[in-house]
Amino acid sequence: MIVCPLCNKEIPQDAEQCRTRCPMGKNCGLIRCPYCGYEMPPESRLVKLVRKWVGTK
Amino acid sequence: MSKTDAPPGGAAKSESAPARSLILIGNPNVGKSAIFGHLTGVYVVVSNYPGTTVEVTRGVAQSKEYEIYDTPGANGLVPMSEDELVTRSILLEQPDAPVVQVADMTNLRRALILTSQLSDWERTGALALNMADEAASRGIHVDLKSVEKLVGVPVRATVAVRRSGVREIAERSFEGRPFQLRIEFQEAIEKAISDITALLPKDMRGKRGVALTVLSGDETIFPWLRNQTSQEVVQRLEAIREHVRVQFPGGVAAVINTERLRRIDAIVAQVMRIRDTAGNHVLALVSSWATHPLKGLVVVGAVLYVTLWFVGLFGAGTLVDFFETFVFSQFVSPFFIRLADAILPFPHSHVIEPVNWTLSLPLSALHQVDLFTVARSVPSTTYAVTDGVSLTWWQTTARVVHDFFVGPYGMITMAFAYGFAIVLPIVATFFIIFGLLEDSGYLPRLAVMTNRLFRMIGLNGKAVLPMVLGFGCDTMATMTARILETKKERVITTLLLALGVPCSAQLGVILAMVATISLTGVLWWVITVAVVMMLVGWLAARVLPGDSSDLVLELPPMRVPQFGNIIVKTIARIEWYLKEVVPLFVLGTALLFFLDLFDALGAIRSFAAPVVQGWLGLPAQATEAFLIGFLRRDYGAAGLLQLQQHGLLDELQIVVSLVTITLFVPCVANVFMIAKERGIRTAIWMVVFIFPFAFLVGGLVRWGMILTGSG
Repeated sequence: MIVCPLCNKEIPQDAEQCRTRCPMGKNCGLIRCPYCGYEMPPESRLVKLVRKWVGTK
Repeated sequence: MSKTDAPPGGAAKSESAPARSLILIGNPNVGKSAIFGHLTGVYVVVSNYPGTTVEVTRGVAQSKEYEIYDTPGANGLVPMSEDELVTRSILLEQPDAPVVQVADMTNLRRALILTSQLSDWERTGALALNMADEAASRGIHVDLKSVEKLVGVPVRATVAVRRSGVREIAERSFEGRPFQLRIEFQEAIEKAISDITALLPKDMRGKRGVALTVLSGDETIFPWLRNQTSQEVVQRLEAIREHVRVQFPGGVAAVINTERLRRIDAIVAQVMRIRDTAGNHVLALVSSWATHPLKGLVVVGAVLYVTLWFVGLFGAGTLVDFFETFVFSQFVSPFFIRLADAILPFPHSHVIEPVNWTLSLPLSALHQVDLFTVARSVPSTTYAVTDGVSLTWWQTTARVVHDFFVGPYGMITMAFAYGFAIVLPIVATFFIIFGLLEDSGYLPRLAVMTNRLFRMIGLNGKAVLPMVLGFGCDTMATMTARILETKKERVITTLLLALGVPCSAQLGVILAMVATISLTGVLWWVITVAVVMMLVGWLAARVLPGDSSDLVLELPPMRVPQFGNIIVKTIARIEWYLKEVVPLFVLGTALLFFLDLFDALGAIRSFAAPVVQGWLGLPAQATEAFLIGFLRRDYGAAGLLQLQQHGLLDELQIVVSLVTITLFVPCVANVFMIAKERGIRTAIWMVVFIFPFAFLVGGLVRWGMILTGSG
């Protein structure tokens, strides 16, 4: 469960993935907050690994 | 995880579901879902609560001994929203299920309101004071033993994201201890509670909770009450409520809430200590200033100054110099040029040029410390075919392929160099700043401050800010469709966004250029862009009827940013940016390559000369920057940055090019978006308007600066 850094609401898991309508790409892969529209990239495996290394939540 | 339309209540339990249930309840954003995730196994069901759009998640505990319900966040059991109504409904459906109340330890006051209501409803369970690490870092100490004594149930400090204390508190909730934080109200209300509870069935649990809910004016409880009692009883309850209501003109609910809070404040003062730290002082000061109409501007100014120094001087200066001049120009490009020469032989020789890189650390916009210099002579992209040689067909083909990769518009020498050596260091430093703003809790406060300005032009900050502060790829169309409530806002937003509000990634590169100019130049840029945006927005607000909707954001407490979080957020952004943007850089460079190959670039430069060179006063090479700016504005801005770093733009030209690129047409992806969402005609209209408008304003700024002696 991700908390939107802008509106501070929890983003439901199935609403996380950006349902892009951009004709330039099928999946932009961003997470969009359904409440305020703020976008942020998801955490890939690399990022999760880094998170583990730096020991943060 | 599976999603069904089955109701989440006990009646819908399958035969294989455990007999026992546990309900997680708590205020929003306290970590309930993290706790739920740690307690449950693979089988989790998400379903809409019947008759609502609210999703409820339930799952089986990993021990398989009980089922767990993750309820929507609720601030109280007298529902003020659909989420809270669903939460209370689940409690009513499962009167015997223990409750684990998950609370934010840093906001005990808010949590205890719910705790006292759980007491009114005679629930059993436990209290998890979550985010204990956050509390510790803010110097907050809670006497857990005293809290346990006061609330009556097991209390545990937890850090859900690290699983600390989670399983233990879930197990202890089955001890059957009731919540006992009973609040006594004034005599008239206690009398009414007593009268109401006398009318309710003897075996009904939580009669006090029912009574307080009725007295608070909640109507949603009555359907359930009719099932539990009768219409006659409900009518008598309504009569009691009315009798009390006339005694409290300000509202019975207000009286109940005030008295509840007074008691809770006394409890919090008793059990909580906040260690007076310098950090707390600073945070409290920043937090109080951050949304003040005037002091907030000081904070914004400070943030911008730090951003300009870090991004503009260190990022665009030191780091770009390192990656572009040292890594690419001295090693990467020469390596690939020699490799291409070896693989694709045709008679030619490259110009050998000296490339000097100096490691400099910026102290200010005017001062820097030079540490050491590395000089190398390397082959450049410029070359000459051997005199007197006529190239064969194969050699010509080899030459084209050679230039495609390592020529002046080569994939390595331009696309990758721009993407990795110029833009990446700049956006990386920008993303670090962004991570700081996010993790500190300042971002929503920035939104609140900016919203005040936007309201002046009839626009809601929530319309533009997510795009400016976010990535903006798909945001324009879907955002205007989804979050904006009025047609007026959608139209104004589309127009303003099409005028060229840069998203955060593009803003980073633009800010890198801003950092190199004087304060006068910065003011010209800021004021010009702001005036244009506000003028157009103001006009649109006058022309378009309708009201703007309100910006409502929950402001989280400010905190010291965690280094690890910033690193993680920055890497996530960089990774996404590289995957998303580098292909577009390659596409843009390929476009320039083919235009140059077929001698079209020169023709375009000549065609654009009256505007680019005549009206804007920029060098001919700026034409290419605007050309690739169609693809992505940060790519175009990077091209202008290159010209500036090679000394081809003076300060006047930098300001003019900055204004023009900021107001330039949106990225081609966004143009396609407008076409898809609003129609091709709208998209064409916007491009036809914005394109000459951006150049017009750029030229006016140029002549304005010349006439006022600023340039």
